Amino acid sequence: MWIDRSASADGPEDHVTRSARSVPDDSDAAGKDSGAAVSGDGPPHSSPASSDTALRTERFAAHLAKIEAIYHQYGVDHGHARVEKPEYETVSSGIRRIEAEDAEADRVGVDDRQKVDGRLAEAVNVAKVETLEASGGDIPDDPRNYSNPKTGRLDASWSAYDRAIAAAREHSGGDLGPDSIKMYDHNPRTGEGTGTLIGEQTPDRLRGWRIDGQDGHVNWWDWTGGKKGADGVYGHDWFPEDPSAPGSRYIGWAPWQDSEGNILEGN
Amino acid sequence: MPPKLTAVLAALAIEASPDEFAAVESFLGGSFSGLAEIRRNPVAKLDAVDLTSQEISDWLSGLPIGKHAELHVAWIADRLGARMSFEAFAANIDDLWFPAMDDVISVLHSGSNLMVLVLDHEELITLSSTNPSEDDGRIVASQN
Repeated sequence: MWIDRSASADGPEDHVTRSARSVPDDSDAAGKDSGAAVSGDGPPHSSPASSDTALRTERFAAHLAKIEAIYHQYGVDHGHARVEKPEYETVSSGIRRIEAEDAEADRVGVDDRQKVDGRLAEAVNVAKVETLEASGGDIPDDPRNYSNPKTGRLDASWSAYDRAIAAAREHSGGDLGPDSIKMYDHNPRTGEGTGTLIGEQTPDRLRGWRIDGQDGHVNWWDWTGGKKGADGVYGHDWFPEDPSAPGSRYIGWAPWQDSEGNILEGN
Repeated sequence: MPPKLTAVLAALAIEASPDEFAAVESFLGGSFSGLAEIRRNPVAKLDAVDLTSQEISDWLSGLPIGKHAELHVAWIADRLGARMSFEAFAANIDDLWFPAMDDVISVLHSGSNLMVLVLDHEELITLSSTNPSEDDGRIVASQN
C-alpha cells in the first residue's frame, strides 16, 4: 500500500547534522512531542544501507541510460536540428486562449506560434532537442544542476527554453496520455498570463512536468517506481533565466485542468 | 497533488474538500501571492533536498507545534484542502507531499498569530508566524 512508510537509508547522525545546519532558529523545537505514525503500518527498514544505495544508484544509472538513448535516437532521427529561437506553445483549452500582450522581440510572432493541442507539441518540441551531450544537458557545468542518486534527483541544464521543456517531457516518460491534465499560464483570479501550456501530468499524478518561470526551470517527476529515495525519480531541467518566460510565477499561480478544460478542484 | 492522495486521506479517516482549501486561502488573505513575503523570515527552515522522508518527518515532529494541534492543509495547485492533526501530518509526510510537484501549505492558529508551514516543490520547508492586519485583514509576517 502506498501509505507504507519508506524508511531512511541514512543514519540518525546524518539527520542531526543536516537539521542543525539548516534551521536558523529552532531552539524551541527541542523537547516537543514527536509524531507517531497514524497508520501504524510499515515495517522498519531492514536492508543494509549500502545495498540500498547501490541498488538505487544502479537504477538511477539505468534511468540515465534510458534517457540518453532516447535523446540519441531523436538526434539521429531529426538530424541534430538546432533551435535558434524559443517557441512558446499557445494552446486552445477550456479557458480562452490568451495571447501575450508584450511578446519579446526574440520570440516568434503570435501568428507563427504553434496552435496545437497538448501532446501534439510534445513531438514537435522533442524533435528540436539537438542531442544529449551529457546527462547534465548541454550546459553540464551549470552550478544550478544538482543530482543525487540516493534521492532520485536528476538535474540538467539547457541553453534554450524549448530544449529544457523537451527534456523534462522525456524525463517524465514522454507521452502522458490523451486524458492528461494540464496547467496553463493563466491566473483565473487576475486574468494575467499568456495562455501557454506550462505543465502536464497523468491523471494519477505519477508522471508529469511543470514550468517554474521565475527562476528558469522545468520541474519533472516520475513516481511510477516509488517515492523519493525509493526508486522514484524527479528533477529540474534548467533554462536561461527570463522572468517573462511563460510559467508558474508563484505558488498557486495557476490551477490544473482536466482534458476537457475543467479546473480541477480537489479531484 | 500527491499520487493516491485521496486513498491516503481515506486511510487516515481524513476528509478533504475544496472548502477546506478555501479556508486556508482565506486565512492568508484570499490569495497566495503574499506567501513569499510570509516566508521571508521563518521561525524554522529546512532544505530537504538531500533528506529522506523519515528525516523530514523527524524534523517536522521537532517543530514547536503540539502534536494534537489541528492543521488546515492545502494542496495548492489542486485546490484541495483538509484538516488533520499535526501528528498525522508529520508522520505521513511521505504520502502527503512529493518533491517537484507539490506545494503544500498548512495553517494553524497560535494565540493571536497564525503559523504557516510550507513545504514547497523545491523541497524548502518553512514555518512562519504571521499576524492578521488589524486594518484590512491582510496577513503580514511577524518580526522574528
